[in-house]
Amino acid sequence: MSGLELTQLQKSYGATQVIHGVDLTVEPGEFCVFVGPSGCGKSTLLRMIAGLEDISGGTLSIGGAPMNEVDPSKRGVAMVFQSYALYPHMTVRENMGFGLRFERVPKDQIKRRVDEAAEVLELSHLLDRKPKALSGGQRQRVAIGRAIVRKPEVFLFDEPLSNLDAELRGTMRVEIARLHKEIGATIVYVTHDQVEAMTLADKIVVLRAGQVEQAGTPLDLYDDPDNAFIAGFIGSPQMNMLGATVEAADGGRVRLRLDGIAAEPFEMPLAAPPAPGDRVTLGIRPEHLSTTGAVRMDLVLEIVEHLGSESLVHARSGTGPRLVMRLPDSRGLRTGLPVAAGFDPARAFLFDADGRRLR
Amino acid sequence: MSGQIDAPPRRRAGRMLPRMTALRRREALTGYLFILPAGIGLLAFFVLPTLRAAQISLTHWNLMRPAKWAGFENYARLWADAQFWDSMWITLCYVLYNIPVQTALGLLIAVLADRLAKSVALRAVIIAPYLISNVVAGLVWLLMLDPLIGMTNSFLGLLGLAPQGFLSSPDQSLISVAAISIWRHAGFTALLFYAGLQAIPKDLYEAARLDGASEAAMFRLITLPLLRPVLVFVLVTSIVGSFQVFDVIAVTTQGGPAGSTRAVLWYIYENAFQFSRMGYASAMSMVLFAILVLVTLAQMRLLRGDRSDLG
Ligand SMILES: Nc1ncnc2c1ncn2[C@@H]1O[C@H](COP(=O)(O)OP(=O)(O)OP(=O)(O)O)[C@@H](O)[C@H]1O
Ligand SMILES: [Mg+2]
Repeated sequence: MSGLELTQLQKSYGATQVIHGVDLTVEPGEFCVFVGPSGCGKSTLLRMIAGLEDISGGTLSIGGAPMNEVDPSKRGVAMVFQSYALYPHMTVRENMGFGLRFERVPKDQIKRRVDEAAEVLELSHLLDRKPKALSGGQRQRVAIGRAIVRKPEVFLFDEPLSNLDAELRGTMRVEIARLHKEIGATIVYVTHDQVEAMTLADKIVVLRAGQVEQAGTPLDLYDDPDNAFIAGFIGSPQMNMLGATVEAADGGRVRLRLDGIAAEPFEMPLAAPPAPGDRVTLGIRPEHLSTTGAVRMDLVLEIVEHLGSESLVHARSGTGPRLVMRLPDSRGLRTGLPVAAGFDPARAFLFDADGRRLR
Repeated sequence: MSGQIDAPPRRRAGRMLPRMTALRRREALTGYLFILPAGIGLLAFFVLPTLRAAQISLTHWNLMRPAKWAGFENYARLWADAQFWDSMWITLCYVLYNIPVQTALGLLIAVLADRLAKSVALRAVIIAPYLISNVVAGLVWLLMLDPLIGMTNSFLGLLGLAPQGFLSSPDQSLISVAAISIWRHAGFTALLFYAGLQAIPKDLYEAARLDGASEAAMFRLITLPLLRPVLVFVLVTSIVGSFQVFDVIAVTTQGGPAGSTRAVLWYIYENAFQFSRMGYASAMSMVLFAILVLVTLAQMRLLRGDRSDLG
């Protein structure tokens, strides 16, 4: 088992730089998830770790050894592609054993290791089939099996579940978590899916425009985001972002007035408060809005999405911003009805005009 | 070969349901309407002439007097005609010179173009010889290979090599004709392979790189197997085409020197239009036709060319 160390890692395609100096440590055995908006460089970073993209600057080390110039097959990594990338003309067994042929593993050992991996992944009865004759989930498992068989130090996954339907995605997510427990290898995993990121990760790395915005445990990022981008990106539905103006600030407290919403001014504790008159952004998670709460807002209900166990209530105040509330029981709610919403200022987040968190 | 390549390999159509619904029947009708023009062309220019040739092959006919019924006399004569079998042998040698080199060269060019330079200009250059007709290519090379005034011998002279007879030497004539054909067709073959290579997903090569496969191993274990349907298509069309070599011979050697390039089509042509033996020429055509059908079926069978692993 080895960890990863990325130091000022950079990648340019000609004059366009797409990775701008990424520093990151992944501990041995850690499950590290890359998330970020489309085009932010998640795949590129993963492919640089794999050796499929050249590194333009900085250093990559795996298990303490520098890897910038090392051949992909010698880095001790295995990758599971979004498209699975199974060899279509080979059987499942041949696909899974392909890498071992080049490590000069004797035939009987290849057979044994493939059988073992197939056992773990419940593929034993499919070993003689070709990929064409498998379902999406089975193909995915073969792709994972091909990676496992090589006993890599580090597994790389690039959106492995994105081609599966919602139900299968849920099942495979649990399987990947189980697999990680069983083999304990280091995993770097790229995904678009919030739930995957939150449930699988030991550490989430949020990337934006080729830079690390924040890295930490899922709950760290959720409970204590460094900036408005992270706050908006982690959590679904998104955090409500409300414009507010600083009315007064002194002695570790700040008095705020919400823009465009009928509500009394309220106070929040803040170590380094901004100057009076500054515009700030107040972030409130949907589940922190309720029908009680210290600060009251008068809203009109626009849409209710009933999810069964809970409801997502979209409401707004006149022409002001639209808010989303996550309410446990709201079967009686109807469009057009007034809602009295409230929140506890201690649970809200405050960001300055540049999106930096004010603590 | 004479440029018989006009359709990409077809995928096998999905099996029809035993009972078609009205919608399916209407769809099928539309489908047939679409292939109708091609069907009419096939009927008028391939099927009817073939049937007519089969009919003529059972007669004696010199174009002047009406044909006389001959039964299988022409076939019996052909069976005993050493010249015919000699021309078959020459054709076979030509195919054996032509196909391996042309296919390997085409594959090499395609892989290099794919891996190194995906340039449209390069592809245009590669395919340029194919845009020239066989007759022009033959004439150009006839001049270039001329033992006395041709630039090929001048060039060899510059390298300090002895001048060669090329098309005028019985030992080199067939190889020279094959070389002209390779020059003209390798680029087109390369283009077919190139198209086939584009259909192979690039991430397979990335997966293979991570698996530790060398470039050579990737070629052998991934490229070649996945290129099989294209390879079969190229082999079938180019082998069938090579068996019918005619126009290059017609403009360069006319079967000579000393009959060294008298390929079967040239021999058929001589019989038909120089000796006016239409019946006999037709019989030889039918035998060649039968041989080509067998060769094609055997190839498809051996190489499972109708089945692709991709898609
Ligand atoms: N060959 C290339 N040449 C130039 N730019 C490239 C190249 N490949 C990728 N990029 C750019 O690099 C950036 C990062 O791409 P990358 O594929 O890593 O994004 P991603 O985060 O994986 O996105 P997605 O979530 O959509 O998969 C993108 O802006 C992309 O346009
Ligand atoms: Mg990506």
